[in-house]
Amino acid sequence: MTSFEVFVIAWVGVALLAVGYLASGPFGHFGRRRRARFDRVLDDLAVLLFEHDDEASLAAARIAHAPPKLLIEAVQSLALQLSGQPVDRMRRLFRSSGLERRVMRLAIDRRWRRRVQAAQLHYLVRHPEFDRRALLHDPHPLVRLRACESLTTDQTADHLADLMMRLDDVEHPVRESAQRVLLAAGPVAVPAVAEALSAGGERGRSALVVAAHLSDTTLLPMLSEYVDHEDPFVRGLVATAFGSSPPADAVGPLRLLLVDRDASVREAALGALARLGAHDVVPDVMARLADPEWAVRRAAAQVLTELGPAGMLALRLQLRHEDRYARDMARQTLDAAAAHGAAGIVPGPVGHVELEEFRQLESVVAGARS
Amino acid sequence: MTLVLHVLLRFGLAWIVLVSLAQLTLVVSAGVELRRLRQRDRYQLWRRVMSAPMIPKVSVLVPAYREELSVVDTVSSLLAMSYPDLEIVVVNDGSPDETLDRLVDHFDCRSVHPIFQKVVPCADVRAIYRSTREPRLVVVDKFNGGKADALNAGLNVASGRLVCAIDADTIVSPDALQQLVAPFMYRDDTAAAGGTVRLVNDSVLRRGRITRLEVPRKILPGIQIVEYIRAFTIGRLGWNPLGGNLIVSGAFGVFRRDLVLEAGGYERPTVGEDMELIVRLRRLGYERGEPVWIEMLPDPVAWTEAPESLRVLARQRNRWQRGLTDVLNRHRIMIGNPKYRLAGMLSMPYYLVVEFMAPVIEFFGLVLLAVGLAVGWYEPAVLWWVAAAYGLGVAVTIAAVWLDSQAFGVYPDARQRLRLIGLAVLEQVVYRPMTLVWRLWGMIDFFDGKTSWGEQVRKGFTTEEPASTAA
Repeated sequence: MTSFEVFVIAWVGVALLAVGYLASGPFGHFGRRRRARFDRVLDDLAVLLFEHDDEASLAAARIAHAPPKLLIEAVQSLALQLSGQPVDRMRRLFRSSGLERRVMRLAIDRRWRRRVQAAQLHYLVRHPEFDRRALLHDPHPLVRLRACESLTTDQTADHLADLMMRLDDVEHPVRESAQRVLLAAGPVAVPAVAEALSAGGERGRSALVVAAHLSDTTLLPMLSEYVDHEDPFVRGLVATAFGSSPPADAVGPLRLLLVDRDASVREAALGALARLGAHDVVPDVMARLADPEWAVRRAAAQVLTELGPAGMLALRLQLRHEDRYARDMARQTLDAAAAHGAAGIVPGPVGHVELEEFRQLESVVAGARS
Repeated sequence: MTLVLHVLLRFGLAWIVLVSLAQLTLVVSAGVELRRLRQRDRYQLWRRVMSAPMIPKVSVLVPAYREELSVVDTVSSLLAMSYPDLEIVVVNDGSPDETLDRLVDHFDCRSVHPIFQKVVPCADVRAIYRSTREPRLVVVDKFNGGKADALNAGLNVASGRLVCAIDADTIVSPDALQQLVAPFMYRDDTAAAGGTVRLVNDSVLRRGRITRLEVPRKILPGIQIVEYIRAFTIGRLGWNPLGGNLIVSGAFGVFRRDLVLEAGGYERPTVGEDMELIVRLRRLGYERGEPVWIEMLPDPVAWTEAPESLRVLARQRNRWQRGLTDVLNRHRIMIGNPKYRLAGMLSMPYYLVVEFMAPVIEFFGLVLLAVGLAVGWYEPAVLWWVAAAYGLGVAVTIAAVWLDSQAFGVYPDARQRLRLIGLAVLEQVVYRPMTLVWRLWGMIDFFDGKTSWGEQVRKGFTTEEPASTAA
């Protein structure tokens, strides 16, 4: 092959690529036309779901002519955003248009992408023969994920055992999804979470994330057992959980966690105390201003600004602390608080605080310093 | 003599062909990766980050030096991001212009007592400011020490579990951060995640969002658009499925703060701090027996300005080459070392042969060719070979641009596409030989011990907003 022939071959290749690239614009245009059609179906669906009966019936007539594949994709794109009356309308549409049967077929399709579609829409299916559990235990993680996410609150109660099994799913997003569904279910989920907590292991650890954010007092005794857990992540979660408990039950364990060997746990405990807002923890938080870990000091200073006048007063007293860093940390936090509009509290004398309250606070702080 | 000259010529041509084939392989790899990521993002798993119970706090570090024209726009776009637990740390690296004043005036900042734990070394901090209007904003004013130094100051002041490094002349989409945080939630070993950087010249933005994307009218920024597309498709996305990514762009990337602090922060006084940090994180991971994962995502896009003058562009390329040389020199132990697995056996050798050696081999090859043709050492027919080799380079660029257009639906007009094709040809035939000189000069500067960044010139973004916020 001569050099000229090689040149011609190379540049003909370039030209072909260039023509292909240019031509892909019009092909993309066909894609846009399909997209426009999809958008029209979506608009009709929106009218059907949210408008008055007359307009809804007109939209229903138009939707009847839409290809089922396009329709199911349009429903799929709406599915997770629906709640209340639109869900009922959508369920009626599913029953009347045969989409319910279609979703049931999709749920047993061997192609996982079809099953993902079914998993996303399964909450609209009320057919007695429909096996929702199969989707929650599907071999493909995306199907399990979508099936978990699509569970409505009333359906969650029937599938607590399945969701518990998903708490130690091998896939992180599925575990997280199960946690979120259980959290959204609220008190209904408490027995299942308690059971998972007692099971221990990865499931117990995953259930702790739910328990930490459920704010249910019945779980507190079980959570207290984890205060000495070897994993700092678990102890941090326990601290977080106590942040949304009644102060009387939470302050004791949180005081223990404030002097935990792991800095992240101490930081989590500080965050929990900030949420509790209890004034009597001010001395414990003040002590953390001289913590060996910088992040804990910073969190402690921040928490003091969130504990109202008592915290602010404590911070001002820290300006005379013998530890330079505690002093500076207090100064910086007060400066920042002043910059964010707390100027009335920070710079002047404590005129805005009632004298009696000030004396009480002063004695609390003085006790802590001594 | 004639034999030696012909061997050299054939070596040069074979080198160009091999490099182009390697890049073509990476384009295919990028295509596979894009398909995988598209399938994953079809279900928008990253949106879940917003409602995750244990969402990590992110501190966005914005080093700013002479960025008076764009810094307010950048910070505004960052504040518009929808991430729930966010802190923005702007580090004014001793700018002699009005960068600090503009920030202080626009966001109504007040000085607070400057204190932070100096975990990683950085130049002295003059003051720390907090905005009275925006509690998430912290402005650090420090003495000049370079970008890596400013990032280190930001690392010291930041309080987030993750840090996002972003250039002060960069605009990011509102949900970009969620997308970059998602890999940290999926994989415990994720150490860094980077997004794609695109060029914003001649495009229009409104309140931190791109409203009209254009191929620049000027040739120089236009050529850089195709160059960026090829670089991000081949150099980042292409390496993703192979697990050999060595760069997360300094313009937009998220890192685990604890790992970066353990590694000693950004290396000073290097100018390729972004690549150096990633290579160091990978190296430390392998040495500890806990390899780290670096993820490159195509979708979160950061928009930045390309230099529009040859002088500034030459300085930028000079700096990039110095940075690359520095990284390869510092971590030369990794090259070809099986202990560092794919990074040592494939990525580092690729960067050595394709990126580092290119200026030397191509420049001297072209000089030899020109002299050889002039004095009659070579037949004019060899030019066909050279043109064919450059044709392969053009093919790689067009393939990358095509892949990009298909994946993201950008530049849909035939007029824009035709222009991009023309720019792809110009990029290979005219622009690439020009960059060879700058890059070669960069290598010389590196061995000469030069570590400065050189002056940056910014035009500012084109906005649809009132003149007060337009740059």
